[in-house]
Amino acid sequence: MKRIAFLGLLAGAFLLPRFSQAQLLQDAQIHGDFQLDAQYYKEDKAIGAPEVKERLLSNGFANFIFTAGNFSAGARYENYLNPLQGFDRRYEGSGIPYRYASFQKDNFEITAGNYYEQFGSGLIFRAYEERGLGLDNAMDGIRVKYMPVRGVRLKGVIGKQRAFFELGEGIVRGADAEISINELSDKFSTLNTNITLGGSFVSKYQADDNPDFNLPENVGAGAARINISKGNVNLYGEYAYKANDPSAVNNFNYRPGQALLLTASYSQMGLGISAGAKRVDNMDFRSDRNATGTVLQMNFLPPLTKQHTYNLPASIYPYATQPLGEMSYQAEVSYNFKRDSPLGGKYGTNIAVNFSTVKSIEKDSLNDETTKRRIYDSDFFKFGDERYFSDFNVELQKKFNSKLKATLTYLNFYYNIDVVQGLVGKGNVRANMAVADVTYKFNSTHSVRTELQTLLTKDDHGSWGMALVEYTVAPNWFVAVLDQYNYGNKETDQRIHYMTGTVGYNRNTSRISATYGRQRAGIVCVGGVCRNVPASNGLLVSITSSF
Amino acid sequence: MKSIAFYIGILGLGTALFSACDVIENPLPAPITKPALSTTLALDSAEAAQDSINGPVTPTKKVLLEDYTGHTCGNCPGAAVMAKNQKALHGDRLVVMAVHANYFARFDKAPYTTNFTTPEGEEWFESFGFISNPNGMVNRVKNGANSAVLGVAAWSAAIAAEMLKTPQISMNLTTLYQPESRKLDIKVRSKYLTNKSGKYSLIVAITEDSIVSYQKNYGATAGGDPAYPVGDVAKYVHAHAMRKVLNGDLGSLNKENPKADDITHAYFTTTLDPAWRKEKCSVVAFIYEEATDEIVQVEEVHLH
Repeated sequence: MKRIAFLGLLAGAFLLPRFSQAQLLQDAQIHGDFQLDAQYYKEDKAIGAPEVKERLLSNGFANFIFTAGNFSAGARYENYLNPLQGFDRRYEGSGIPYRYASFQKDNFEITAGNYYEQFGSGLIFRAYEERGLGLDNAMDGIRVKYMPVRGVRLKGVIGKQRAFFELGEGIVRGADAEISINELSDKFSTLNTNITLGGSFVSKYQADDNPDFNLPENVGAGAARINISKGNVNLYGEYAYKANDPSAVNNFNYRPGQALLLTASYSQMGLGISAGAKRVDNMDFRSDRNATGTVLQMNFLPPLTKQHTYNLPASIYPYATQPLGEMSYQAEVSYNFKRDSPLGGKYGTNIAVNFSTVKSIEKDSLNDETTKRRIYDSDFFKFGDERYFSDFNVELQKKFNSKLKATLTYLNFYYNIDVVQGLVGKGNVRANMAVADVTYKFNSTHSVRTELQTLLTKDDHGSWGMALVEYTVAPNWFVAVLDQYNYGNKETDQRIHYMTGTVGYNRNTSRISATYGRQRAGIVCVGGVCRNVPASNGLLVSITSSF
Repeated sequence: MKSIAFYIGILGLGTALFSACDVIENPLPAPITKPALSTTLALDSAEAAQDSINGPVTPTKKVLLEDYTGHTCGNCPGAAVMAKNQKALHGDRLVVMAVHANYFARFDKAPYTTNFTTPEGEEWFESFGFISNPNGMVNRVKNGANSAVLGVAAWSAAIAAEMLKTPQISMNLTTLYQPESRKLDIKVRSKYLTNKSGKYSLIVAITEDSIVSYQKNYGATAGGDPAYPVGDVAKYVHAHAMRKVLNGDLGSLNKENPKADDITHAYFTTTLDPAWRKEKCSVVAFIYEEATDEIVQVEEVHLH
C-alpha cells in the first residue's frame, strides 16, 4: 500500500489538472522488478585479486512503474554500498537517479524526467542502460513524440545525461523524423516494397573552459537512414556526420566524424543470409568532452562482429568497437537441413557459418597539430593496414533424439590486444577454439547440460580449457560447476584454475543464486562496449524478482 | 491551417537545431604572451648571478611523488604522512606534489568548500587511470601492471628505485616576484646530459604548502593520520597542494631528440592568486618523455 501511495503521489504531481485522482486510479497498475548482486571478496594473490577493504560489496536496483490508462510514472532506486569491484567508484552511495512521468494524448506522447531513447541505429544518439557494464546514460529532461499523420513519427529530446548520481555538464538536444512511405496513404500500402526513411539531428552544448584550445561549445551531428524490404530481402543503410568535436578521447582532434552502416539480409524457409559493412571515423560522441570510459556517451556504434555467448570466445578475447576508427564487414549463412533428409535426420540439423573482420581506417597524417588539428585525412573507402579483429566460426546444432541435443562450434580468432584493450606491447593473438554443448534430458524435469571448450594459442597467456556441468531440476533448482583453466600459460605458476560453483533457485518470477569461486581479470563487453574487470575471489549472491 | 503552422514550427525547430553547431577553424588560442624582453633579460641576469654564487653544480637525480588526494577522503591523511616521511628521508631530492582530484576533492558540500582542484589534476587522474584516492605516481613510471598508479604502500620502494637512476637532465629554476602585482616570472633552464631520442616536454606548476582547511580523517588503522582527531578536522594542514599548472596537462615541448649538452631556456609568467600565501608557494618544473610519460627530471624552488 505504501508503494501505491508513493507512486500515486508521484503521478499526481505530474498530471494535468483535468485528470481527477479517481479517473487515474480506475485502471491503475503497478509493476516493477528488483535486482541485488552482493559479493563477499577474499584476497587471492595467485590470480591478483586484491584485498577488498569493505569485504562485502553490493549493487542493488529496484524499479517501480505505475500505469493508468495513458499515464505512466516510475522510479528506480539504486544502491551501491560500495560498488562491486570493476564498477566505477563514483557510483558509491544510493539514491533515485531515474524517475519519470509520461502521458499520451492527441497523438502526442510527452515524458518529463528520465528516459531512454534511440535515433535510428544509434549512430548519433542512444541513451540506454547496460547494467552489466555499469553504463547508464539516461537523459534527464523532456521528450516529445508526435505522429502528425499516419506513417510520420517525430521525436524531440532535450536534457542532460546521467553521470553516476549526478548529471553531465553538457546539454543534449535532438530531433528525429521517420516516414514510413507505405503507411502514408492507402495507395502506397498495397505496394510490395516497404520503404522507411529517417533523419535525425543532435546537438550538445558545453561551455569552453579549456585555456589550451578554442573549443566548439555547440557540436552537432546528423544522420540519414533508409530501410527497404521486399519479399525475403531487407536492406538497411544509415550515414552519420558529426561536426568538429575535440575531446579527451580523440586527443582534441578537430576532424569531423563520419559513420556508415549497411546491412542486407535474405531469408526463406530454412535459409538465412546476412551481410553488413561499417565504417567509423572519429565518432566518439559524449555530452562531456572530458569524459572517458563509458561515461556520458551519446551514441552507440552497433558491432558488426558476432556476439558470442559461450564462455571462452565471449570472455577471453571479446571485441570492443573502436569509435575513433574502424572498418568492418560481416557475413553469415545459416541453413536448416530438413527433417528426414540425409543430413537433417529425424529432427533436422542447423548449420551456421559466420565471418567478420575489423581493420583500421586508412590515415594520412596532416601534421597540423599546431594549426587546424584535423590530424589526418582518410579515404572513405580505404581500409588501413592494421587488422584489429577477425572471427570465422561454424556452428552446428543437432537434436539426436527426444532426450539428447548438441551444439558444436569451431572458431578462429585474430585479436589485436594493443588496439582492442588499449594495452601496449601485448601484440596479436591467433587462436582456434572449439565448443561442445550437449544437453541430455532425463525426463520432463531433470536435465544435464555440459560444455567443453578449448582455446588453442601460443600467444598472450597461451591456451585455455573450460568445462561446465549444469544440472537442472525444473522448474525450481539448478546447480552448475565451471572451470576455466589456463593450461597453456608459459609461466607454469600462472596455469591457474578459475573454478566456480553455482546453486540457483527459481520461483515464479523470482530467482536467487549463489556463486562461489574465482573470476579472472579481463574485460567484459556487451554490444562492443566494454569495461575492465579485476580478478576476484569470493561468494556472489544474486537475487532478481519482478511483479 | 493548423498543419501548415505545425510544419512551419517543425521547420523552425530543425533550422534552430542545425544552427546549433560551431565549426572552429583555429583550434589553438593566440599564444600566451611571453615575458617581455626586459623580463627575460632580468631573469637571465638573476640566473647568472645565482650561477656565480652556486658555482659548478653536480647534477642530481630528483624524484617527483604525486600524491592524488582529496579533502573528503578519510584515509588520505595517512598517505600524506607517508609522503611527509619520505620527504624527511630524501630531503630535496624528493619533490612532493599533492594533486587534489576527482570525487573526494569535490568542494560543493560544507564544510568542504575549499577548491584545491585544477583542470590538469582532474585530467591526469582520468588519463593515468586512477580509480580512487589515495594513490600516487612516482616519476610516472609504470609498474608491472602497465600503469603508473601506485598504492601508498608501494611508494617508498618506487622512490628508492628512482633515486638510484643516473640523472639525464640538469634543471635550474630562476624566479622574479613583484609583490605589488603578485606577478611571478619564471625561467627554466634544462641541460641534457646524454643523447636521447624522442620528445621531451616540460610542465611547470605552482604548489602551496601549509594550507589550513577541512580534511576528513579516519582512525590510524583505517589509513588516517593519528596526529589529528577522527572525523571532520577543521584545522588540518594541507601540504604542498598543487594550485596551478602554467602550461596545460601535457606541458610544452622542451626538446626533440636532444643531444648531450643541449641547453633549453623556457620562460613563464603568471599571477599568484590573492588567496595564496606567496611565502608558502613553490614552483615545480618537470620534464617527461612523451612516449612513456615517465618523468626524467624534476626541480623545485620555494618562493619564500
